[in-house]
Amino acid sequence: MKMAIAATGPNLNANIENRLGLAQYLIIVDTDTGEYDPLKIPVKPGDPGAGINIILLALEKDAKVIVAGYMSPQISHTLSKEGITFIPYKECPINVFLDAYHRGEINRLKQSGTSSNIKEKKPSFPFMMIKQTGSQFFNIMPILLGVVLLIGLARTLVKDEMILNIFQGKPLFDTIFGAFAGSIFTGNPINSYVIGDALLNMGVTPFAVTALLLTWVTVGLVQLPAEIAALGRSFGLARIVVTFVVSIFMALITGSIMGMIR
Amino acid sequence: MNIPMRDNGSGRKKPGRIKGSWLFLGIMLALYTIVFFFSRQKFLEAMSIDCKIILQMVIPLFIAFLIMLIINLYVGPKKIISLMGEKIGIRGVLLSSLAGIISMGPIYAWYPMLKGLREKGVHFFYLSNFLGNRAIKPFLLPVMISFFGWTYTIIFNGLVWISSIIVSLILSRFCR
Repeated sequence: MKMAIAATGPNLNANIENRLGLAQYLIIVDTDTGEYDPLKIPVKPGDPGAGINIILLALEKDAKVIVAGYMSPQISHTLSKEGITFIPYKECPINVFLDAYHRGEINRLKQSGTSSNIKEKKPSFPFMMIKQTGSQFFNIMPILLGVVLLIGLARTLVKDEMILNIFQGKPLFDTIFGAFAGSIFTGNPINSYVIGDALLNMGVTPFAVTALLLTWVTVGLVQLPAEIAALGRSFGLARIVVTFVVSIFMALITGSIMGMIR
Repeated sequence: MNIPMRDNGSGRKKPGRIKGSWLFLGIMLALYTIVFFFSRQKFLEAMSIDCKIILQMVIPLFIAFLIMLIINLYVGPKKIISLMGEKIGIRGVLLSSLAGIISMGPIYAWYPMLKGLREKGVHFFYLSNFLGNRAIKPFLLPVMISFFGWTYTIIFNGLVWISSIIVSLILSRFCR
C-alpha cells in the first residue's frame, strides 16, 4: 500500500509537515517494500490551492493513506468516503512514524481527524452533522456581515449617481461590466445577493446585476489553479471562457424577460 | 519508543495568522469607528441600512440552515458521485445536475473526487455540468427570494441550469 506523507524535507529523516498546504515535499512510501519516492511540491507552500495540489499529487501516485499534521475535516471526511485515509500526525520524523506504523502502534483510521491512539468519545452522526452545518454556516458569517456593513456604508457615503456613471443603463456594456466584476469577486453567493440588491436599489439595470450574480457563482477565477490541477489546463480554461460568454447571453435574456414582465 | 502526541484534527490555527474573512470584517468595523467620530448622522444612517438588511435575512437564513442540515444528514459525497456516468443521456444530465445542486461544502473538497471520476472515465460533460449546477444553492433559495422575489429567482436558477448544460455541451465537443 502506498502512503503519501507531507514532509519538510526530501528524505525519511525529515519531519512530518504540520499543515498539508505548507509541505515542501510529498514522500510516497510503499509500506510493503519500504521504498520511498520524494516528490518536490510544484507550487509554493502556503499558496492558495497548495493543499489541494498535494492531495491531487497523492491521488495521482495511488496513495491510500495521507499523513500530515492537520487537514480540513471537510476534506478529510470527503476523502475517507472514497476509501482514502487521513492520519493526523505531527512534529515527528517520518522514519519514527513509519517504525511506529509497522509495529501497529498507529492503527489506520476509519474516520477523519481521529486517531486510534487517542481514546475519544465519537459524537453521534446527527450531532456531527449539526456541528458540520453550524461550522459551514459560521464560516460564511464574517464575510457576510462585512458585506452588509460595506453596503450600509456605501449606500450612505457613495451617491447613486456615481454608481450610475459606471453602469450607464446600456444593456450590453452593463452586462459585460457586471460579468467581469462577478468573475473577480468570487465568493459565497449570499454576498452577491446583498450587493446585487443594493445595486438594483441604486438604479443599476437587471442586466448588470444578473451578470454579476451569474458569474459570481459560475466563473470563479480564484479557483482556476485548483481546477486546472484537477481536471487539466484545457478543461479549466475552456470552462471559464465558455461560462463567461454564456453568462453574458443569459444575463441579457434574464434582463429582457424581467423588463417584459415589469 | 516514545510516540509524539498526535493532532486530533481539531482545526488549530497557526498563531499570528488572521483569516482573510475576519480581517475584512475587522476593516469594516474600523471604518465604522472612523465614520462614527467624523459624522454621527452618517454612522446612524449606515447602521439603519445594515439593520434593515440583517432583518431581511434572519428568517431566510434560518430556513437555509435547516435545508443545509437536511442535505448534510441525508446526502453523502458517495451518493452524489454515484449520480454521474460515462455516456451522455437525459438521465445522466438530470442526475449530474442534481449531484451539483445538492453538493455542499467548498469546491476544493470536490476537486480530488472529480479528478478520480475523470480517471474512471466519467465524461467531461458530467464534470462540467456538476460544476455549473453547484451555482444553484437550494439552501440559499429563501434568501434569494427575500431579496429578488419569486419570479426572478425561478428565472435566474432556471437559466443557470440551462447555461450549465450549454457550457457542458460545448466543452464536451472540445475536451476529450
